[in-house]
Amino acid sequence: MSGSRMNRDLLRRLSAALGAETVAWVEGDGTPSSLRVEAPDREGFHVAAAILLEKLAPWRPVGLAKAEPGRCAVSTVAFDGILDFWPRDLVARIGAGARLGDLQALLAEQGLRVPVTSLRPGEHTLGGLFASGERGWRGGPNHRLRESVLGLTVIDGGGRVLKGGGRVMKNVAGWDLVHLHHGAGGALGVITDLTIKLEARPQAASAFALPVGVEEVATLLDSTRLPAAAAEPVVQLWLDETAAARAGFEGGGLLVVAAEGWREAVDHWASALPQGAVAVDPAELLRRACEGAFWSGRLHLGPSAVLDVWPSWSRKWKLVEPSLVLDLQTGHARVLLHREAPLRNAALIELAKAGRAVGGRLYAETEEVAIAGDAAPPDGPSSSEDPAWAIARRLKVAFDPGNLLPPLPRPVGGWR
Amino acid sequence: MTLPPGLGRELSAILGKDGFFDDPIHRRVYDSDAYPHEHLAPAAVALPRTVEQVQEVVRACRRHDVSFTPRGAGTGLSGGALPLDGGLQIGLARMHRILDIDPFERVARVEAGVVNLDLKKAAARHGLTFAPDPSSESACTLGGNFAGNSGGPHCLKYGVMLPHVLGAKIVTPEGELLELGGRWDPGEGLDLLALLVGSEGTGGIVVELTLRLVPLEPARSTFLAVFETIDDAASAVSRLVARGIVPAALELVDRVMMQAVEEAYGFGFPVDAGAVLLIEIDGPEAAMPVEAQRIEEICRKKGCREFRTARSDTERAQLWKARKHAFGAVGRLSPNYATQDGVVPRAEIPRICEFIYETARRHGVTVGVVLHAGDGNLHPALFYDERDEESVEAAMKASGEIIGACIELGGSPTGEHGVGLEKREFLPLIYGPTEMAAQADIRDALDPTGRCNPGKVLPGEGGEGDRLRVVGRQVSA
Repeated sequence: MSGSRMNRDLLRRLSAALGAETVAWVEGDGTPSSLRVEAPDREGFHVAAAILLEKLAPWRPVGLAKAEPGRCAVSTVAFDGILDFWPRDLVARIGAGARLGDLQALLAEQGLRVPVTSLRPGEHTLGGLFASGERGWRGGPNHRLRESVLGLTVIDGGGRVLKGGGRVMKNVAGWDLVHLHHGAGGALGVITDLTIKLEARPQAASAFALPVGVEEVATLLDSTRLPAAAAEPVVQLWLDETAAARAGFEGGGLLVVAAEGWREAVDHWASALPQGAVAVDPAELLRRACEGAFWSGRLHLGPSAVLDVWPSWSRKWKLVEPSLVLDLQTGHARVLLHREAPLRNAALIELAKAGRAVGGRLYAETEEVAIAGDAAPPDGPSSSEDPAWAIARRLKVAFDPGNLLPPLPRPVGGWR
Repeated sequence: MTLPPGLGRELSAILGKDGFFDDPIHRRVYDSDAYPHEHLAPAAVALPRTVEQVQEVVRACRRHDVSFTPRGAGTGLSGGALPLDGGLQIGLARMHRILDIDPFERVARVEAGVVNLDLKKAAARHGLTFAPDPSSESACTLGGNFAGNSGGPHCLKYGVMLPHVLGAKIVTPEGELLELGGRWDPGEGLDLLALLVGSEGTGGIVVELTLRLVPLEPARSTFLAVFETIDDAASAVSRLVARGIVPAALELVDRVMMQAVEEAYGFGFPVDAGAVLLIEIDGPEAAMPVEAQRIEEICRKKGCREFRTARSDTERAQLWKARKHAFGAVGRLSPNYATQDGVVPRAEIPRICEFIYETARRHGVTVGVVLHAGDGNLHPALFYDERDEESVEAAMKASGEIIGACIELGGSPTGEHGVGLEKREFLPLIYGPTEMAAQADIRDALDPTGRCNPGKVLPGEGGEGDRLRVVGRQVSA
């Protein structure tokens, strides 16, 4: 059956089952058109999934993201809200389509929060954040959605409704059906709800920005990061001169630090910061720094190596207006290009080479920036050598036997 | 089971004279781990020293179609390292080098056989520590911690093993080297690393780990809160967490265990109390007094009759000895005990404790309870005498009922010990047939050969090993 005929057939079936107003054509710009389904409720979502699976139609769950050509998009936003709440355990089961911003506002009324951050909380759904594996802007090993999700429900590509994990704090019963879907991009199943560990909001929180050039940042780290510090900051980011300027701080690099906890401790920590520290809202500051970038990637290298590589490269390639936001706690280095230029690929290849010279990698989102002379990237079904891809492929066959869900993303660190 | 003759020769050639053993004494040494109810001898024991040797050993097993079971220090409590169908035991204890500690990046690279506490000692020289702290930390290996996603008292604040693993090298069941994650935060992508942490050695043999270190906090305070009843203590736990207080550790010890500890060590603990909470906080110096005050206020409001603060490192060590050596002290009260690892939602701690005592009474078994109370992870110790079949039977029945109750209350049969051999039959109680099929799918994806630690986790898989004893009784030799 041709793609357009299939879409027409699907449109009829989905419209009949869910109502015409919930299904829309999305015309591609010279690309195959696709369908977007706004499932009216949970039941509607299950009906849509069943029809798509029956018709063997490629589809993907989306939160607020757009449909992609040739693949039917079924929105999970009907799966919002808190479905169950156990206040004495500080645990809640939450619909995967809940927007992080709405959820945090709701929980704040109870003095609670989900311990995860996003620069676009109004746009990100909880399911999307988990499925993308995205880390927020707050550092520390436990400040990641992965560590807060206790259980979930998914519909896999074979139409099985699977419940993984549970609602207790620790659980090592069997293989981990929860983390199987972390970072999987919906390739192994569609998350419909997540059971999440909540936490009480801290009594006090403060964040400050300090002007710190690249030469001084390592030295300053000794006084704010190493154990002699009065408190372990929950945020510790360094913005290069360009990122700082875009965030509204002219004149050089910027260190952004934040602490939270008991008021006395936070005040004590703040009083120990060097002179010149200015109170800031880190989320807002970062939003401004990242706004308007036309290319965004990640330098997987580690803080000290990033600080070695970045200055000379960014000076040389000023024409693409590069900026850097470096998380000093996790080593997560966000590279942004703010001006399109003909030589932008050359610039990125040079940064990728500089990174590789010291054992790092440059990724454009999840794909590594290729360098001339590289072997074909060992991703996708063509790679037979890499054991990570071999496991990933077997999982894909088991959990999406018809290959109807989105393609697998790169396994984390799965090849080098 | 005996190895094919050719395989023994190959393994000797790979590992040398002191790395391969198939004599009865060595097989006997490796026939048990810390799970007391099964003794299963491997056909032979391999003790590699390098990653390449592990790969060669696994490839040799593949060529001869022989199963293999990895083992760290053998401290696992659910029989996860026992070779269920005989086969080859691959011990990682000789791969015990700390390869690198980078204090600036706060990262350690270690071989899988490094003992947990050895890494802590090495990290402490840089003002850092490795957070997961199972009670067996002085013996258990980091590879074993990876396989079990181990926890410990301090994982309430710091998390279990997973968030501390940045990267791992794993020899797959096919003998290939799988590298996942790396030196820095793994970032986005399919999270196979998270899937393999806690997979109980069924997806391959972890040979090297890159681990996150955390700074030693500048200040620490330890308290003992004494309660008349276990309900009061549990109620204080819920209140503390709800008020945003996340202590580094929050442990509950009941009267029976306190009596055992007191008889063994004579620390002057209250033996008439219903339960005590051992609470430890750490963090910035400035936070200590205010946090201590709030904890004491909450405990007092919930019926705490006495609130002691450790005034020195010696007193702190004594308090922790009472907790960490509680099971050792049980030896004075009973020749044998079976410990469980159920988890319940925190709010259900009073109900599960009531159920435990009632069940023990009904079966005529003495029980003592310690709990990682902040996590709702309970370790009841059921006393029995393995020379008395009725006593064994009663303890096992009570143990099974307690785990069943944990599941009914919305919990799990295992919080940190793993499924291994012990909990296989409980899995269908928490997962329906569809989820069980998905579990089998994951296992097959990780190990299509079915040779790596066979028979674990999923119920119903038998074994051909030299099964010497089941729950205290000799059933075959």
